[in-house]
Parts: sequence; structure tokens; C-alpha cells
Amino acid sequence: MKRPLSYGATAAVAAAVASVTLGDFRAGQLSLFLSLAVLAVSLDLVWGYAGILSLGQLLPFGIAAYTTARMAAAAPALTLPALLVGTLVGATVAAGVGIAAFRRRPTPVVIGLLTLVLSLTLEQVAEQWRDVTGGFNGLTDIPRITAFGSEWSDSAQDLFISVVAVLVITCVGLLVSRPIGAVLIGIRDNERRMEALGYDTVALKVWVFTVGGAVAGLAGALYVHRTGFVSPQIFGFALATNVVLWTLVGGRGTIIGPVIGTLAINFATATLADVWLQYWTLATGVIFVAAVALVPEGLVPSLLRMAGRPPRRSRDLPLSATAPTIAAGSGSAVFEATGVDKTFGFFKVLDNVTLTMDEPELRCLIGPNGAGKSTLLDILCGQQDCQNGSITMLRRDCTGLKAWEFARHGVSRKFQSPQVIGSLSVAENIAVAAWGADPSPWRLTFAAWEAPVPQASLRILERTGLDARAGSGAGGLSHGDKQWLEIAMAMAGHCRVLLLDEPTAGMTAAESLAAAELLREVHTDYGLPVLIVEHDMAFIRAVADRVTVLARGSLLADGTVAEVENAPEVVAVYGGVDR
Amino acid sequence: MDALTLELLNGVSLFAILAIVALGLGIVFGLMGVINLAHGEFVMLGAYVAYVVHTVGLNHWLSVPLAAVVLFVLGVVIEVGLIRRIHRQPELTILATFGLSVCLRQIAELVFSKDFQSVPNPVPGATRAFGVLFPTYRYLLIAIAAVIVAATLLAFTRSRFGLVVRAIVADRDLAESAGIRTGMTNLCAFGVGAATAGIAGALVAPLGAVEPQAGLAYLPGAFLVVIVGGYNRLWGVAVGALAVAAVQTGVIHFYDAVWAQIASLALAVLVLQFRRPTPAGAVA
Repeated sequence: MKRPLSYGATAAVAAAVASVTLGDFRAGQLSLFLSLAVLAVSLDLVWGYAGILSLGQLLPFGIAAYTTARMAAAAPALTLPALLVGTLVGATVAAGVGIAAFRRRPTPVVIGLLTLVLSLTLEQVAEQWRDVTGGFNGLTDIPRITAFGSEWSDSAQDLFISVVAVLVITCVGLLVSRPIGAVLIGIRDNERRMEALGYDTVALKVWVFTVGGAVAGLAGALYVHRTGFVSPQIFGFALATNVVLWTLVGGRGTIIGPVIGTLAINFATATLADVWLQYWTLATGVIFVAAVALVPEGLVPSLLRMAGRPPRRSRDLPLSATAPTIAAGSGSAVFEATGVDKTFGFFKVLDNVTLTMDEPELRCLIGPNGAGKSTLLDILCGQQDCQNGSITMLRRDCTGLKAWEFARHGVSRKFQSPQVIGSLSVAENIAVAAWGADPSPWRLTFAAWEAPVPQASLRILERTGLDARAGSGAGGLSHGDKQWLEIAMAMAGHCRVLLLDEPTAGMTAAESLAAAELLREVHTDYGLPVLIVEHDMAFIRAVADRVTVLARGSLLADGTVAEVENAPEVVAVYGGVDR
Repeated sequence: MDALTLELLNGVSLFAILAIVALGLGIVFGLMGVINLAHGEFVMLGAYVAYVVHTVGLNHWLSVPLAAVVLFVLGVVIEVGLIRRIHRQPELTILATFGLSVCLRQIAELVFSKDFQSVPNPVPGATRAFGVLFPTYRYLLIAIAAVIVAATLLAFTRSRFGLVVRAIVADRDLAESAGIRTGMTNLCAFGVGAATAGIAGALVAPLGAVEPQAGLAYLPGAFLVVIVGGYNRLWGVAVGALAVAAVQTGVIHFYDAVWAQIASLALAVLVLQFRRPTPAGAVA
């Protein structure tokens, strides 16, 4: 919070001083390139932070530019309010695109293509729609900003644009330093994990795309006053390529990177294009290819790494304990899955399976490979739909709900291969999980940099030693530590029933037994119902109140560990090997 | 009635062009998960091959195999030098080919200048059929496109090579551990994709101007075909091309080219709304 603010204030002062002292020509270039830097930062917000590759960031930028230009020509006295209108127009355009594009979760490639084609189509529209856009030649003679009764001079306008641009960039920097920034990185790194924590990732993507659109819209409004004209090429392939290039070369996922990229490449272009006119465009193409192939991270992150610092500082964060009880309460039905069928193609994975947990217990779900255990777990937390059957979780009918709705209802899940958010610190992972209980983007923008975490989750961190490494990056943890971190994450949100998929995979026998002890302890102390898919019989004997056996998509047996182990049908399925 | 027939024939010839342009794109995307944003530039280079063949005074039809060979070699070079390093990261391949397209356009401009060049129609004149006169060359174009698309589809569904390719599409890692040289197959796919773009370029060269920016015109159409037709299945390209061509021709008939572009874009967005969602976090 403090760092972006002080950096931003310093940069704003520096931009103002530069604008006044550099002389009209340089000051004009600076304001032009800073307004383009705002555009690059808007791309960085949606792409570098939230992971949405938008090749159509010119869409809100260009439409806002045209809108502002028309408004400035029609009502010169209202140019300052017109900047806000441009911002709103940018946000609206981006929201529309986001809603149309993200709902069905197309792959990043499809989103990139779609946004690019949209932008190129708009270039044609702008050429044809002469009445509004002025056709191929565009709109010219756009007045400068007018306020306080007079049209400003070029140098006053340059000063204003430079300072506003830096302030906007600072605001984006502040935004990504808030809890929402960590959440966006979570969506970029691991969308599935975020959904299982209660985040409606599609809605969040639309939200960040809209915010990015607002920033791009303001950039377009500033840009059009600076250049004094706007033509259809504002949507064209050349600018679309360039803004991606600046962001990529500077380093996405940092705020300063794209700004440096934009300024450096544009000042270089302005200087070299005169000398090198023919070859400069070729050079940008070559730089582009070279940057992708050699430094895909971008210059700023690569330099930071060379200097021994991670590009994004892993941050610690205060985790405070909330009330100790997180459970469903004893004597109440935990879940009830009735008559569940699931088919993949011609293969029936689950055939009329009914699984219930009547009161909080530690239940293990076992069965040979291919029995349908993980699929059943997926269905119990909304990761997959079932064809028939109904799912009641914690006394509410959840059939057909989405994964994030299950999570907000209190159904937490740990995946088979550990899914943590590698770019965030251990503490941030836990915090992101805790914030998932109430994940409105606006709340996450203004919420404090701290997280209330249930004691059960904190106890896991303490017992596994992860609390001592709260500030280190989760991506660098060992497999076993990631397993524990993910279990602690699953307990950190609004957790009222816990589903674990092979929590001891990759652990030694001793570690497995310690894990069983810890899980039992959490279960006993907090009354948390747990359903565990496992293969390791020693672990199951140590941990389970009750065992359910699944084989070939059907329920085979159910009872205490001893009962199940001696049941002839179970022995037959396993070939009696494990006894 | 005759106007309608003419419109229909126009539609079919547009379908033919879209299908060959999108075919290469579809092969590369379907097999490697790589979206080649420089595909339009490959088409443009194919057209320049036809232009060069014309300027040295050779027969136009020679340019079709020649463009295929030139672009195949270029495709192989690009695959080895660039795509191979990054093909498992779809995002990076989009960006790299984005940059590549800038380079190719600029190189074409430096070599051939910005001027519009033209390649004379090797089969001037029109043929009367179905009660209307329609350029003979376009009839030939339709026939050639049909042969190329059919041959490719047959090769991918009926041959041993096709089986290997489908195995890779289904599960690259499994295919690799089953002893399939996926690297070699990638190389072939990218080369063949580039070659079909070259063929398309040589074939369309007599129909319009040959210039460095020409490739950009094919880009939106070809991408919409891939989005509409879906990926993983090559015949999706044919279906997508058919749908996009039908929408574009229909709308051009009543309005103009811009509305046609908007309509096909709307079609793509609509298709996205009904496509089965990819599971969260999945990569192409």
C-alpha cells in the first residue's frame, strides 16, 4: 500500500517537472507516450495479472477516443467531463465483450483471437460509418482540453495529461497491491483452485476486464486530446501489435515494466524512425519474436531475477484466528448423494451410487483404480455435473450448482495433485482461501491486507511448520508441503465439510501416520466432517471412523475398517493382496 | 433467379478460398495447439511466388507447386527456429507469430515495395453454366479447393499418418511414450500448414492485388472459421468455412462487406455461447 503510493507520488512530481523543463517538443512526446503507457498498463491488468490475453485492448481505447473527440467538438466547454464519459464508455464496451466472451470459458487462445478480430472489424466499421467517424481520414482538429473558461495551451495540456496518466497508473498499482490483486493472480495461476475456494472466476474476469476497459478508455480520451485527431487505424493491427509488444518487453505482471517498455520503445521509435524508417518496423517485429523466444517474462522481471529478487515480492500477511468452531454441528446430516449416475462417452463411471454421511465423521472412500472415487468427489463439490441423482450438502439441495457455489456453501476440497497458487506466498495462499468466503471484487479492493482464518487451518500451518515460512513463495515448496498448504487452504475459507483426494500421496509411511494423527485431531477438536479418498490401508486404519468401498462405479461395502477388510466381496475385488 | 445463381456461385468460391486458407490454420492449431497469426502472411508470400513466376515469364500453374515448396521450407525453418521452443505455451505462440507476421510483412515490403502488383488471370473468360456467365478461373478454383480439402481430410482419416496425428491430438504425452516422434510430426504439420497457405496465395493471386498487407485481409475470416468450426476435428474447418462463407455471402448480397464481417463475428460469438465449456484451467 505504502510503496505504490509513494512511488506514484514521486513519479507524478517527476512527470510534472519533466513536462515543464524539457521544452514543448519533449513534453509533448512524454504526454503522448504516457497516455499510451496507460493503455499498456490496462492490458497488463487483464493479461499480466488476471491472465486474460486480450489482443483487443484497442476496442475500449478507440471507442472512447472517438466518443471524446465527438464530444469535444460538440461541446468544447465540457472536455473534462468528457474524459470521464470516455472512461465509462471504455468500461461499458469491455463489460459487453467480457460477458459475451468469457461465459463459456473459452481457451486463452480463442479469447485472444476473438478480441483481435473484434478490433479489426471495428477498424472497418470506423472506415465505413462516415457520418459518425469521419470515414477513412477520421476526425481532425479536435480541440484541446478546455476548462476554467479557456482552451488550454499545448504545454498546459501536456502537463495535465502526463500527471493524470501517472496518477491513473498509480491507481492500478494500488489496486493490484490490494487483496484483489492476489485474487487475480490466483485466477491467472490456477482457476480451478480459485473456483473451489468460492470465487466465481467468470464474474471476476468480467469485472477485471471492465476495470481494464475503463483504464483503456481514459487512456483513449487523453490520447485523442494529445494527438488532435483520430482515425480508424486506432483499431488496427499495427497499434494492437505494439501495445502487446510494449507490455511484453517491459514485463507483464509488474506495473513499472509496461510503463518502461512503452516509454523506451516509443522514444526509440521516435528517434530511430527518422534515420531508419525502412527498417524500424522490421526491427520491432524482430524484437517481438526475440522477446517471446528469449525473455518471455519481460525485461523488468528478468533483470530483477538476475539481481536475485523475485519479480513480485512475496509478501507476508497477518493471519488472525477466528472462532474455533467451523463444523456443521453434530447430529445433523452432512451430505446425501442419491442415485448418482455419471457417464463419459460410452463409459459408465458411476452407476446409481448413493452415499450419505449422517453426522460428522472421518470417512474414507476406497476402491481399485477406475472405481469412480475421484469422480464422485468431483460431483460432491460441483466440479462435475452428474447425469442423474441429487446432491444435498449440509441440508441444502445443491444439485446442478457450480463449484464456487458449493464452496461458498461450505464444501471444501483438496485436489489429488496439490493445487496451490505458485506465484503467491504461503500466507497469501491462505488469505486468498479465507477471502473466498466473501469474495466481492469491490470488498476485496478496499479490504485490509489481513485475513481472519479459522483456527483449524492455523493449527495445520503450525503443526507442519508452514507458519514459519509464511512469506516464502508457495511455488517453491516441496510436494508434501504443498499438500499441507492445500489442506490448510481448504480449511481456511467457509469450511463446513472437507473432501480430500489422496492427501498422503507421495508421503513416507511415517509421514502418512503423522498426517492421520493431525487429521483426527482437527476432526475431534473442531467437529469437522471429512471424506477422504485413499489407497494407503495403514493410513486408513489410523484415521477412519468408517469406510465405504466403491468398485466399478457401484457401492460395494460400507462399515468400520475391520468389517470392510473382512468382507468377502472386498477381498475378492482387491484379490486379498493387502491383508 | 440468375442473380441468385450468381450469388450462390460467389458464395461457393468464397467458401473454397476460405476453406484452403483455414485448412492450414486448422491443421496447425488442431495438431499443435498453435495459432499461427502469421498464416495470412504465408498466403501473401504464396501470392508473391505467383507474381515472381509471372515476372520471369513462366506459366501461372507452375506457381502453385512452387509456392507449396517455398512455403513448406519456410514453415520448416520457422518451426525449427522458433515454434519448437514454445509450442507448449499457446499464449507465447500467439505472440511469437504475431511478431513474425510483422517481420514477414515488412520483409515483403522491403523486397517488393508497397506497390500493388497484379498477376494476370491465366484462364480469362467466363463459362456459361446454370444459365449464368461465371469466371472460368473461379470454377477451376472451386474444383482445386475441393480436391485439396478432400485429399487432406482423406489423408488425415484414412492413412497411417492420419492415425498418428489423431493419436497426438488425443493425448500428446501418451503418443510420445508410445514411440511416436511428435517432434517430427509437428515439423510436418507446420510445413504442410504453411504449404497449403502458399497454395492458397498462389491460387488467389490473379483475383486481387498482390501487396505486403494482403495477408491481413484473410486473417479475420480464417480465425472465425477456426472458432466456429471448432478444433480437434479437421472437418470442423470445412463446416466452419461453409458457415462463415454462407453468412458473409448472404449479408454481402443484402448489405455490404462490413456488415458481412460483423455478422460472421456475431456467428462466432454465438457459437461460443453454445460450445461445451472447457473445464477451468484447461489449456488448448
